[in-house]
Amino acid sequence: MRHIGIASKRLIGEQVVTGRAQYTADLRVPHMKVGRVMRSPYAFAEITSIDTSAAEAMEGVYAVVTYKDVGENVYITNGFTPPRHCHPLSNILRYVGDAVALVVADTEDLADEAMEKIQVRYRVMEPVLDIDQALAPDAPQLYEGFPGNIAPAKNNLHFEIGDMEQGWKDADGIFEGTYEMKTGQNPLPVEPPTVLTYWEGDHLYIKGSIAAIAYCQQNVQASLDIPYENITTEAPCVGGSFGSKLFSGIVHPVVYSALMSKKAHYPVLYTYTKEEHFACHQIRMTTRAHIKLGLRKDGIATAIQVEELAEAGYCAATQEFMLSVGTVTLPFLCKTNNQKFDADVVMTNKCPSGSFRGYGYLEITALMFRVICDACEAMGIDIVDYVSKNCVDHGDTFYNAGNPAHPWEVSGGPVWSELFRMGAEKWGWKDKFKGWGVPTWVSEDGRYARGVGMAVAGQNHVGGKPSNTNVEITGLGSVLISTCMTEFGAGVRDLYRKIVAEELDCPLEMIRMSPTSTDANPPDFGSTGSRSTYAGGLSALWAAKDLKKKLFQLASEKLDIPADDLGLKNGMLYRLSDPKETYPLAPRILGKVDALVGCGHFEGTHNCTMYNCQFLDVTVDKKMGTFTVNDIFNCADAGRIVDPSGVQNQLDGFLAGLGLATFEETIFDENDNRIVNPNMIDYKTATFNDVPQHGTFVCESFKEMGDDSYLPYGAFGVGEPTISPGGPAIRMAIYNACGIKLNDYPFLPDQILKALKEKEAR
Amino acid sequence: MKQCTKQYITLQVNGRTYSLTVGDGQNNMPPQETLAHTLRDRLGLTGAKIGCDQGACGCCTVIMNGRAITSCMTFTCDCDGAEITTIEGLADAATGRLSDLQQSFIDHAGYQCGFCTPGVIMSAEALLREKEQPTEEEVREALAGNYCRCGTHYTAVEAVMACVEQRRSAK
Repeated sequence: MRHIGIASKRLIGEQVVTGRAQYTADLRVPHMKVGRVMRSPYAFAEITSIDTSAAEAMEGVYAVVTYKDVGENVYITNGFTPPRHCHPLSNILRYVGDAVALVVADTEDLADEAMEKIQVRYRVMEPVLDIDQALAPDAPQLYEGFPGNIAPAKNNLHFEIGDMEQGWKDADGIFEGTYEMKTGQNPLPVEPPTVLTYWEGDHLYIKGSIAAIAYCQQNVQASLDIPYENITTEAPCVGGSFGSKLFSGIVHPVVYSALMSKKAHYPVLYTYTKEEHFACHQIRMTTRAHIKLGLRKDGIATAIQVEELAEAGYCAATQEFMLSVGTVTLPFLCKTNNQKFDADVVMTNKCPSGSFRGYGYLEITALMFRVICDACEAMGIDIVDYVSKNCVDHGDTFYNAGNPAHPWEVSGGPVWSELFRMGAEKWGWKDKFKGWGVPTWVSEDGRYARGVGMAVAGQNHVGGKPSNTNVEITGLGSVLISTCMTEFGAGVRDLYRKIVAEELDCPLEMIRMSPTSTDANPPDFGSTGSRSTYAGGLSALWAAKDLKKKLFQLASEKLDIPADDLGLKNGMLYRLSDPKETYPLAPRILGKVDALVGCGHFEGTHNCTMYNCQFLDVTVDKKMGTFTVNDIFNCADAGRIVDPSGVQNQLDGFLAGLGLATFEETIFDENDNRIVNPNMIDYKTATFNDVPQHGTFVCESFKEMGDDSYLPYGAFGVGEPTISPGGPAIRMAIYNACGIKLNDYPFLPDQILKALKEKEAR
Repeated sequence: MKQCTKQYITLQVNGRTYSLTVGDGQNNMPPQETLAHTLRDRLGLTGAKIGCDQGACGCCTVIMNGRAITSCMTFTCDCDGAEITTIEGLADAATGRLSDLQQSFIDHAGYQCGFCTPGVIMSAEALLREKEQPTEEEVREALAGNYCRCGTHYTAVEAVMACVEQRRSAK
């Protein structure tokens, strides 16, 4: 291999380290103004009157947009599901932070001054603050079309397969419990959402911190009720996303910016303040589930039933898709075809929840692991044995509820149980795990106790949704890859370059990447859902193959050499039967300023499975109620490693998964769901001086696969599940260290001390 | 024609001197402007990023009079006469050659999305100017005020330590 698996200098490296890399807030266009949003102080209120005249009269203020300016067909929507309900501006305000007015001005200070001059009268209403209040029989209703505060879903969120009754009968033990995750973890990319928009007539131009430009454009199109073709979306460098910049559902910042630039007739740059980023963008959905598991003595699940609720906040968008993606966790953690699943999306007067790395399966995995741990402990089963016996291995058939037309999939992923067993062996699980609820080590004075935990999590959307790539070669042999794939840290554009360079047998330097624009490239679902390597990489590989085919055909005609006797290397043709016989492309096959284009179209599949597996070791300080993760061992299978540094960096994203269980928490005021810690001091995250020792183990199960396999050179990447196992593994490790079962993330000292006290009392 | 009295400050940024008039007029710098905005909006030095504008993410870190500071928490008016180095000032101005530290971040892929990286590099640079051969623990402490979500907590430190190692072996 010339490039696959070989370390190379990443793209944009030099721009990043010199500060030349351009992010959206670095862009300047002529006559650009800035936008700000005036936000609701109430959780649920009606605007009875609003007077913006004094603000509009100010010099340097160009527009004030209110609900009166917004067309009745303008909604925050993906155009598919749930039914349209949430206007970007409305006379009804549905959470503390909902938009009252949008202001365009010369500077942000001026816009803030203008906001103070906007006169608003509110009629305050009784809010619905959580799932229980929302589902109460006499609860206030958020939307007319959503009776009972349930958002009607089009995704398959209610199904039953197999024979549940038989499944319970076959079990040697049945375990159940109701668990909830309500931390409201913030995806919190370091760069806040930032969008620059302007209009030329009816055409909208968007430049933004957008992770999936074509997908975002589709949602902006649906939201603004204008044709897809009337929008151009571009992304410069993007400062991280973790789901929060897909703008697949919570498309507010883009829509706000577009409404402002439309009314002001100026380009408008709108950057969320950190406070808005925390309190008005999107957070991990609160999820509650009742889970019932039937387990045989030999460690095989016999039936699994999940009743799940997800809190949307005031805008239902991606939550039902997240629930749907999460349904595959049932077969991923329980090897039984007796499955029952029911889920609903609940509306509350709260900041919206939205897409976040670990999309739906992180949540249900964390909750299912609580029941699985109870079951394994009661039946004396080692958790490594459990996950190895109950995972979806290569060739296993599993039920994919997300594809109701063809729900039975045969896994094309690797033998995951091997990874779990090898990981356990390499980390020394058997020596470290002393039994359920048994510490690995206790200090002499009894104050400190160590315990170990492990968990796995995964999903099957790795190959899902369409990708399109064009690969062009000029007469001088230079190559251009055209793709909408956006770079926001994971290295997808480096990956494309390696795959295409490998197939065309040329140096990386001969390959340029197109600008990330929907006008320059064919549409693509984008770098999301762990799909970049498989779905995206395959489209790039196929485009390169298509290009070669066309080139050899053309050259065959021009050179009178059979097409199947031609090869391409370093931008030159050669004869396979006599490699010394070479032909430059120009001038005989292509002119110098001439090109041929190959196309790769991949429509998506759901048979590729992906897991991540983590082992970790914690020390609990029983006096202080604190704990420390000492060591974490992160295990993945990439199929084949394309970009070694990309894989390592991607896997190191596990820190946010530890943060979820350790200290990350959005705190809501109990009276109105106002977020009381919207800043980076009060919202805690991992810092450079506080990270555990870590090890990584990456398998390459498909290394021997050829380039004509269903995967690009056998690669499918390590994806985003790296964020998911940390939480359940920490919970297990704390239990093993000191015998307490904690249920509310994050596990802060008050909870640990309370649980220890209760344990002592028993 | 009207006349007015001007108040101005000077900054020395990456070796070049800038005069900025302070006041409320359209082309003046308002006294409440922070250094992050001055660097980015007035001097066109957008390498320092504004991640939080709350002094808590370190993306806007620059070196002022030898110390790493968060430029979003610093009033430009308080910087009169200061000597400032930004990320743009690390590479050789004449040849464009990257500093060893910058090169090390590329070689060790010490970045992912790259938004926090200029701040991380400037925090490390300030430490390396102060201390010839810091320990890994000291590097981690120096970067404690820099927020990264992608998870470069290991590779960025590797990049800095490789640079320290290079210094050691060069001796």
